[in-house]
Amino acid sequence: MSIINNEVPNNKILLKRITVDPNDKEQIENFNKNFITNHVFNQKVEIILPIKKGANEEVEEDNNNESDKKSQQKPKAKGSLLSQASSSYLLVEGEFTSLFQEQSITPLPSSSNNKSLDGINTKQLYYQIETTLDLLLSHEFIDKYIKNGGFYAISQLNFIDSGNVVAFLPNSKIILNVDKETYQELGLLGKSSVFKNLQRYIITLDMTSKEYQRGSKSYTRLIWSLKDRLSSINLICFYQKLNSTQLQSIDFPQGVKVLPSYNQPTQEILNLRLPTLNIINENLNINNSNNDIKMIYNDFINEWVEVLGFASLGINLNQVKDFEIGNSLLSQCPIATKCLKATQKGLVSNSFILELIEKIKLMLSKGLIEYGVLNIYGFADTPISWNSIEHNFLYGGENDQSLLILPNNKFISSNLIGTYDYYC
Amino acid sequence: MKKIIKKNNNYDNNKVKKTQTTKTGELSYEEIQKINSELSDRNKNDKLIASKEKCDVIGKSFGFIEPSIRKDIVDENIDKPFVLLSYGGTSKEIKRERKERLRLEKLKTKKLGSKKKRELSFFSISSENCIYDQYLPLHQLWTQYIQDVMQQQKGPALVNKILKADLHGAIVIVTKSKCPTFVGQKGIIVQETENTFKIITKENKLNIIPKEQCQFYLECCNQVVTIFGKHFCFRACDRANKKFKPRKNIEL
Repeated sequence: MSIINNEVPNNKILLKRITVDPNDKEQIENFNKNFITNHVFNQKVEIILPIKKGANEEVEEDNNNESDKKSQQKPKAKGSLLSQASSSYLLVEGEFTSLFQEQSITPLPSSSNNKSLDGINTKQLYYQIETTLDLLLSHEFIDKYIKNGGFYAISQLNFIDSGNVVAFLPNSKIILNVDKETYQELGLLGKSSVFKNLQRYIITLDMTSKEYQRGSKSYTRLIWSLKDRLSSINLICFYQKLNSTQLQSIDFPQGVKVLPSYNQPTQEILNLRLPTLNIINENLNINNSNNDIKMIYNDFINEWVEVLGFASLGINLNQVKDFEIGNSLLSQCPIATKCLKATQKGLVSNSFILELIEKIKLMLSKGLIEYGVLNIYGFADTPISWNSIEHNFLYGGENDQSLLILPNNKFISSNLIGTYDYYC
Repeated sequence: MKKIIKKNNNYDNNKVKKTQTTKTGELSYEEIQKINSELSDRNKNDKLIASKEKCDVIGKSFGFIEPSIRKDIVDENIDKPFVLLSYGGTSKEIKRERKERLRLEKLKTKKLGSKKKRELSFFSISSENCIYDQYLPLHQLWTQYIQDVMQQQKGPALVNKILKADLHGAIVIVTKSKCPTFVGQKGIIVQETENTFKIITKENKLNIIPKEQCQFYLECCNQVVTIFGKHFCFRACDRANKKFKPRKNIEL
């Protein structure tokens, strides 16, 4: 295998260490607010869970790998003899099958009837829409979905550096990141962008404010400016009431082309070379009070991100090529361990990620997993990445996050951020 | 001394006339007739007396003036500057002098400047007169005028005509501008200055729109014209003689 070493000098990697008490509710809420619910739109979520080796398992793996492969293919058919040995990864796999189950495409209940979506795994559903914006800003739609909060939508097939981008936030705000020429024709007030001054403009519309009440002057101007002047836009969206986990169906107004679709899940078990928990703790818990600690951290982060990259792509490297790569973390762990890797593609809600974290915590407390890794990928063409701060594109628009969940309620978050982005 | 003498003579003559006029104004009609017959006799005598007085004055002024006064009269005439009859206006000095004279005359004459006109609210239209319906006949006049000017021309010939045409009374829409609140404003042009249009909208409001930051939409003779305001910043009178060059950059 040949490896291309992509060096992107304009990106930044940030590291944060947190400890959260499971009994304190305030700390948990703050953690959720600062690290997960701030990031509004998630493109892809990935889990990598290295499974702990039992005492019996190690002997079997060394002796005959073939029996393990058979056990992967038909784990439930095997008898009670192997159940003790392979119990750990079977339990782990069984926990996550409900979340990462492949959904058979069934006809949805018609949009006119307000039926609850029972029987369908509603955590994986979202809508693809093709509309003009004035239809979504009609009074009936605003009162029903946007004003109460919880309507997520983001535009697709338009690029943020050369086109116009829209996003509907759950706090009933609408953000238009608009080109210079369209801003001059549109006739709506906005601010010039921070990164590309006088080339791009940002318009924010707060639908809860008094300006956009029924029959007001500014509302009629808004619809006049959006009605026949802008072309139709492709959006993906879902509706989720605040403080609830289930998604709900949407009645779109007439003239909107709707195509409901599902997230694409995958789940597999791989043999990957990942560093053990002891190696990570050695790198993190250094008692020296020198100034070299920062250097050691920097080295650790860069190497850790490399190892995660190999793991997420599913590459199992030979020990021969370790010398070429020059990664000290990889060279410390020669033996491959069993891992569960699962992904969700599409438009993933934040409540789904919170569920995943709770399940990983359960696994850790039972002692089935060494540690858990959770990767979250954001859209490159969002007008907003974290915490309602502007986002833009230069060489790459990454806004990704990887959470390392360790036992004893320790968290380490490392963010990969483009140059035209902030994180706070 | 000579002037004083002359004035004294005039003063005596005036007195005589005044006394006659005052008398006639107070009397009745029958008495006036009687007096007139008497005056006709008296005037004959008066004329004789006046002629004698004139003769005395003339005699004094020419013939029998005292020698001390005569010297003064002669000296005055000698001290007068020499008057040259001009021989055509070709020399440079004369032209220069004439220019200076005109310039000084202009400075002396008092004209109202544009600043003072603004202070007196010479250009402004009062809010009582800002009514859309009152300006519709102005628009009808403009349509007649522009049909005479255009004469069913198309293409580049139309552009050259419309650049020099007058736009007072045309209906204009703003399609593009740097400031988004100007977009979509529609109305009749009432006044055109070097950098602005003044427009009356259908809501009876007078709005001032800068030319430099806007693009305008205009219809004339079933044809659509867009005006790029950045290259249109001239007075209406200056535009008639201006040569317009083709531009590559249309950006605001």
